[in-house]
Amino acid sequence: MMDNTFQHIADEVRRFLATEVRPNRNPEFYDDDRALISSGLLDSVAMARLITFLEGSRDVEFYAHELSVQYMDNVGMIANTVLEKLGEA
Amino acid sequence: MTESVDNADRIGPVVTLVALVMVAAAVTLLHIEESLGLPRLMPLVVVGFVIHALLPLKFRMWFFLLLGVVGSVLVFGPMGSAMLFGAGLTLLCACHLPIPYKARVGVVLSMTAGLATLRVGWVEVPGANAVLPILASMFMFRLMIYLYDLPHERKPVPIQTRLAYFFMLPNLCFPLFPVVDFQRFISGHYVIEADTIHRKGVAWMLLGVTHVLAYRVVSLYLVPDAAAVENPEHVALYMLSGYLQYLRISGMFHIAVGMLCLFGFNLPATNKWFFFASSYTELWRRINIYWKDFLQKTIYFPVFMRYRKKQGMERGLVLATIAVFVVSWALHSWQWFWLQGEVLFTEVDLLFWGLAGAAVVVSAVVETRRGNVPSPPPLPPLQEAIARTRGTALVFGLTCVLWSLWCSGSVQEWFAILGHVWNGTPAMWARICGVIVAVLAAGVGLSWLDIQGRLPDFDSLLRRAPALIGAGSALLLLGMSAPEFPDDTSMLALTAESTDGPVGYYEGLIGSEETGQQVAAAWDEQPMFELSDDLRRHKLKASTTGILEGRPFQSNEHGMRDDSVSVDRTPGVVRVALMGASPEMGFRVASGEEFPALMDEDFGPSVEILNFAVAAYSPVENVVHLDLALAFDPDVVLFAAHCDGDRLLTGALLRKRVEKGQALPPALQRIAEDALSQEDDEASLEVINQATRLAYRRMATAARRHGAVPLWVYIPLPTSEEPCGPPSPDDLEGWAGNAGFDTLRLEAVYGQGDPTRFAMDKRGHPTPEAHRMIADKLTPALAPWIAGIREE
Repeated sequence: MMDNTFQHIADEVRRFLATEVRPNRNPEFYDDDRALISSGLLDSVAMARLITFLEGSRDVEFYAHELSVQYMDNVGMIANTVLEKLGEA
Repeated sequence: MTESVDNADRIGPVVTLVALVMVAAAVTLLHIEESLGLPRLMPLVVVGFVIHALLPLKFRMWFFLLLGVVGSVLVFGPMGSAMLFGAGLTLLCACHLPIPYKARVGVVLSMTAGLATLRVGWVEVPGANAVLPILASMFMFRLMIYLYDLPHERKPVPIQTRLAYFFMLPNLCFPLFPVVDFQRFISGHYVIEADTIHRKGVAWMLLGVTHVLAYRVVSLYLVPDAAAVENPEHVALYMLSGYLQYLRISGMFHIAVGMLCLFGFNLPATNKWFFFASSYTELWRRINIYWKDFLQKTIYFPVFMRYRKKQGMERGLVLATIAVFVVSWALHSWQWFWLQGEVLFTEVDLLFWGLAGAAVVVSAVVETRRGNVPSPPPLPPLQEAIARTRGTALVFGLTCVLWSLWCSGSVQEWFAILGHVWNGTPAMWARICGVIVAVLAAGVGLSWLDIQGRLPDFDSLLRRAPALIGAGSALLLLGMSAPEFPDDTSMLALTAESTDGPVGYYEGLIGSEETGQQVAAAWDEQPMFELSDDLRRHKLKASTTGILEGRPFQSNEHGMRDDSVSVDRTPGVVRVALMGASPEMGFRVASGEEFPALMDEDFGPSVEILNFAVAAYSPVENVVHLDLALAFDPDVVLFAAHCDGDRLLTGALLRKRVEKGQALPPALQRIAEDALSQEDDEASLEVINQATRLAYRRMATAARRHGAVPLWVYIPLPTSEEPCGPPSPDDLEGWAGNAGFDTLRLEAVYGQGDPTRFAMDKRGHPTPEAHRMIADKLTPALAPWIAGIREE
């Protein structure tokens, strides 16, 4: 059974970013409020890989308009978006 | 943001204001983007910034909107402004009609088609051509983003914010405007401490000014004339300078977004160290960040999300990237259409976007695959520096090549220019290799310092140190206003954004105003002028006062740039009617600084110099305009001639009239049709020369019939083009003499040295000092004719 708490999702996202997207950063670098898209940390290819990872690890589906600062500009927002989707499911 | 944070530091905002005033002074005194009206907008920006910052937060968005309205009235006048806001509000209302979303999109598309008929001139509305490019620059992309975001809005957006998104103040002087994202616009408004956003804005404006100045240096010293490219050094400069000219765009974008930051919109950078990108994906992400974000949001992710499951992630990314570049090409044509009024469909454009797209696709695939394998251990600093420099040099070099293709008229022309690369001598190649090695060595050194963390972060340094901004502006001002510069370097020549070299998409879009046709078209739309239903097309408005090109301008009751004057003559006073174009009208100098006004003072009350000159009038228009001058019963009709300008203006006039199907007097109609039927430039020039000779004959004959002495004077302009031609000043003088003019040539007007010191721009419009010099030469030169008239 997946742990679908905010903290767990956020930690997973942090680990993914630290290992797969920017290997030279520690997971702690990506705190809940650090801007990812608007700061340029998360580019389009990294974003595509991140949502592929999230969709693969949980039964959720993202829509194109959600890949934006409005929904995914920091780890906290990403975790909340996933939680909202899980609540919808 | 909270009000308490706003009030926490009372010194910081004052320092920011001082820095802003310094930057505004730099923009004004250095004539930064003067042709686009930026210096005219700066007082409004500074005053608006102060009032805006003092207002409670809830009123600030409304005030920002009000500034847009005031700026619009200043730029376009009440009627033009009403058109701009009327059309804009109608488009915005269509987005919110109480009908299904797809139907709303259909309504917006229909309205856009209606506006397109205005833009191509199928339907003519007076003043529309001046307003439509700005309306388009506000709506042509932002409306797409707005419509895309509309169904997904999560929070209610106030009406003033929606309006402010479209009617942004800096847009009034920047038709080529960064594609600001709606979500970022609303979500970034005072999201952090006010002064931090304001400082970032001032810093970016200063950075923008330095980019524009760097562009001027490139266009003045690096850009070779395409026709003069004949060896590998020229080819290298041609390629390098074409790409470097993008500095003007990044400068304009920094200034525009910097201004938005002044009003609390915490927007990201528009361009970031793009010349240093070490892969094509990196270049794409840095060179125009807003454009990349716009297409990423509206094209890239929708395509990727649609195909990733069927095609897999890598193919999905490739398809999305291809779609982005196809759309990017189409939208650049779309932008061209709205700003230029023409459809852009050229082989070089297709090829450029195709090759750029292919490079980014390859780069993206490499990046994706690299992400799937464990990262290699980090390289030692020197090796890392070498690898980075190699990547940057490769991307920079290839982009220069690709950009030069984009700047070329055709693939054949591009190959012809590249062909000169074989004309090099060993010494030339040694110099080229030496420069490349030196640049690479410097690149490795800088990269090494960067890897070691020894380079400062310039962006944050600028944002955190407003004093530095002020000092930077002051240095710019001191340096650029220095009266003398060594050798042939004229900093005054650096006061205009124009170039003679590779003219790429952006140069063409913003308009380098190098041709008479463009000059005339621009003048048709200036508020100091009004349309004329005769051959002149435009004329000065009567009794008007205002600012033209940043200088006080006024016309008298007869539509002349002169003091009030009676048609009836004063007994005993010799009356001289001066005919001419923009140099005589005093383009880019304040009223009273133009040489006819100075001569009027020099002669004293016994001689009247009446200034009938109007900008962008060729000799042909002056034939018609002479009727007004002759109504004043002058003793002398003084026609001021300049060679290249007259030729360009005459050619442009004839071409425009015939192409638009507008009637010309029969003699000119024949000449114009002949000109257009000529296949080679030389024959076409000869026909244009016929028009000039005909105009001279008409003017001289009409003056003599009215009892006035027709006097032709050649006034050299302070450009590097003098002596110009063909036709040369000798040719022109010969034609004037044959037509019945007395003739006069001013020589050595600007003393020794480079005359461009006395030019306001590359077209050679004289500075106030140069007007004084012309008056000092022309007043005594005119004395024999004045004396002759007195004797009679």
